[in-house]
Amino acid sequence: MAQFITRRILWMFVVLIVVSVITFFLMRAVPGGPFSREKPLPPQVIENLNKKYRLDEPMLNQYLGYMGDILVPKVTTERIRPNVLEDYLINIPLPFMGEETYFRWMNFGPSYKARSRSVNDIFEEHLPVSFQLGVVALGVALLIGIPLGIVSALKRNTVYDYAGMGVAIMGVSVPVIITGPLLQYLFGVQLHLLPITGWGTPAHAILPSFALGFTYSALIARLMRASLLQVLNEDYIRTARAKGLSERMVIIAHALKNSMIPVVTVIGPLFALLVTGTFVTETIFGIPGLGRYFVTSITGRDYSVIMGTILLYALVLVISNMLVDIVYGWLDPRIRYT
Amino acid sequence: MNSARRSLRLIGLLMVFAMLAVLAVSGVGAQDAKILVTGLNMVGADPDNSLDPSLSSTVQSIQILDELYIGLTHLNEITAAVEPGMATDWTISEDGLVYTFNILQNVPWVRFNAESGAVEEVTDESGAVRYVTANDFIYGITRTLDPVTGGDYAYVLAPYIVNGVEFNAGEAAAEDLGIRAVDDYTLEITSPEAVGFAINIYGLWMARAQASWMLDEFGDTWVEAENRQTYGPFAMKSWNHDQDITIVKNPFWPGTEAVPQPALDEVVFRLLDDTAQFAEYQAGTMQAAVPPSAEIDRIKADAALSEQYYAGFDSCSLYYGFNWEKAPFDNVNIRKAFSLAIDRESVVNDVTRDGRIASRWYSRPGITGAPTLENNPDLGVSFDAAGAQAALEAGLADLGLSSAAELPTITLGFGDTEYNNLVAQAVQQMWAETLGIEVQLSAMETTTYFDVIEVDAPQIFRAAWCMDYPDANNFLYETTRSDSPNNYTNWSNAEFDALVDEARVSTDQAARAEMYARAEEILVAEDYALAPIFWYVTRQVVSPDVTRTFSSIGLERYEKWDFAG
Repeated sequence: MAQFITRRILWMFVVLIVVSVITFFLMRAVPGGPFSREKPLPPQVIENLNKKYRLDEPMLNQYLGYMGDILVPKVTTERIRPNVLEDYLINIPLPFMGEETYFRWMNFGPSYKARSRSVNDIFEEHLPVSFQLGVVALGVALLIGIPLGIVSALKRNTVYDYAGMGVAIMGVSVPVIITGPLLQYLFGVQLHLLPITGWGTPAHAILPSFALGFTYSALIARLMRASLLQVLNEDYIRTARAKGLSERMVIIAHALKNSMIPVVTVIGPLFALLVTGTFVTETIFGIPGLGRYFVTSITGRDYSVIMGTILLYALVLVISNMLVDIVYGWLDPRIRYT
Repeated sequence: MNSARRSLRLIGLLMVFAMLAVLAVSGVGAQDAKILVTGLNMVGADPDNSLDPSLSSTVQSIQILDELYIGLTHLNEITAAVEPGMATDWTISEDGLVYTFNILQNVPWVRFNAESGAVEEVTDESGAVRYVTANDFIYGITRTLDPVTGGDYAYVLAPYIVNGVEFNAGEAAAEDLGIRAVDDYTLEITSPEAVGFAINIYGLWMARAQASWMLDEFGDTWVEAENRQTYGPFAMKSWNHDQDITIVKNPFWPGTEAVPQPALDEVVFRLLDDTAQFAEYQAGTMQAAVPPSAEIDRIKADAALSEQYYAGFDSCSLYYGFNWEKAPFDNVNIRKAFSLAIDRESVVNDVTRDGRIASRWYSRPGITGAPTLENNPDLGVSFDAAGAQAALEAGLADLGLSSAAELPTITLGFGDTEYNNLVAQAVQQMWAETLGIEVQLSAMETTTYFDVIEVDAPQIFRAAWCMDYPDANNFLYETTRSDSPNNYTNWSNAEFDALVDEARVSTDQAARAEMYARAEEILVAEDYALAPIFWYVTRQVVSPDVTRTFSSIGLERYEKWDFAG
């Protein structure tokens, strides 16, 4: 197992490097730049800006400089006046080497759009918000989706099944852009029960996490149903029944655990998707999450924010897929990693 | 009913009373502190700009900056006239080059102290209060023009300060700038040329006073509420990025005729898209909001909401430009036909339905020098189907073609947004109906499109200009003169150039108005260089509990707002 994890972590670095290369050169191949405006800036101003952000250097140097700022740790001996060009994620004081000596690592660069903030500032401020929303929404999706799928499978072709799958189809086909404002209107404008927009208290999380979670609960319910139906036809279920176990024990001890595999498989990518921010939900509910930066950074050619968000997403995705693989081994004893 | 149940009921009643009492007290508290909650639509704009006078470029950030820092001169939101701001008065030398400003002497730098919950004066090392001086303006202006700062709007200010352009290009030193402090409260700015609207420019957000000691101490983090020092009628209380910005009354602002002390205690700007703002407004949690355009019809039909709705002139003008270097738009009659065939009234009333105003010329009416709707009832272009068809016939004859089918394929380019698509499709249909010409639509990713029109604009292209300062020069000289970098039409007309050159330096406002009216006539109704479509409006719903001024400049002056009664 340890060997498996070590290998996966090494592969993760390879994946991230490949992702960074592709993203970097792809985004630079797209026309326009961070200083393209509807009202174009004078060439002199653009030149000033390119110089400030080192965008006037050859492309390869820029890539190496960017990756160097992230990967290569530095030890600084003098006080750094806070500035977006030198903002490190990790700052460890080294008092034995001098009062102002710090070990600094991982500078993801400045934002070219929100010009007084660095990518690290943006992550530190907005990622926790998206993470909280994403985790709660995923919880909602599982809490609705799994029981719905189980009931539909066990009561196959009954009114319960049809009702459950009806809800699931509605969840898949009605996007957040509809459910969001509907919930806001009902619980906020009409009933005055819940805050309509904003973030900060648990009450603020209820509507958006429900709107977001409901959409994905449908996906999970359908997967759960299909998978459980398939498992119920397996030989080992027949064996379990044959040895006289109660139907309840058969379902709980044997069928459910094995039928979770497809669900766990989608939870990996779904987790990565939800915790790194969801643009539409965050916009509708006025949530200061990271989701918008995935979109606005690309339209605004905010290169370092594009790189930062993509690398973050890739990292979370790779890690959650690794965790999923580990869970497989627990769910199905036939799966073993060496 | 037994006694236990009765006492339970009594306790219940007492609890209800207690809750009511708490509510009443907090209600009174809320009324005592006059807090206005409004919205700023920041979604789709730059993710919250830096709120830095040297860097900011969006109207949302300028709205906030205008409350935190006052310029030498100040723009009246109703008349768009120049009023005294931080300068009590000023003199202009006879040659029109040297401006001498006398600066208010009793305006301290302040910051909001989160611990005490109050706005406090900023003191220097010796404990003396720091007042805003001429040197703070010099620092702010120099920082804006410094090439290291890389300010988006440095280019607006640079031409009106001696050596400004050179310094911004890195070819002159800061000491060479035509700006100096005669004494602590007297500032002298020298312009390389005499232009009347320079007085406007010296008051803009990128020419405000800035606190050098604060930047030295906090570096790039000075913009945050806990570090920021300001001097205007409001100070910054909090800034939760992407969520809300709260400004609080600055009790040390002395109050002037143009910029009085605020009546409101706080203004909260929630950064929400318009749909969310309107929902909050309807729930009563916001007192002012920008309603979504889809709701305008419903608002106008609603007895209560229609009273709360206001649409005022904004700063932008939208047009479809013709590229003169691409056939068939090298022909004036073809351009005329395409311009006359656009039913602008129908575009704003039937298609966008959001209160925008059909435009007959390019520059925004009501700003200094620009034609006004009242005085120029016949100026410009408007929809004329018969005229368009006649012009098309004439154009085809010029080109030696027998029918419109022989024209080359015509493309209209625009940035790919839902709104642009909507307008383009409507105009495409108008051209098809009136001229019988099927125009291809080319929607490009927005940032790509900005680059495309700069280098090689399509035959017809969508463009908009939002003014930097309220003078016709900003539209007609800076964007449509033949050598302007913002002129994508490749059009040039010597008479037009001469007119805008002369009007630029003239100080006779009546003569300027005539020259700009003539220039507009050439631009849109003789040469048909571009087809104006509509002028933008700011849309608002504001609670009837609020007394306010009705702005025509796209910016509110919250120091003049109050709660009624």
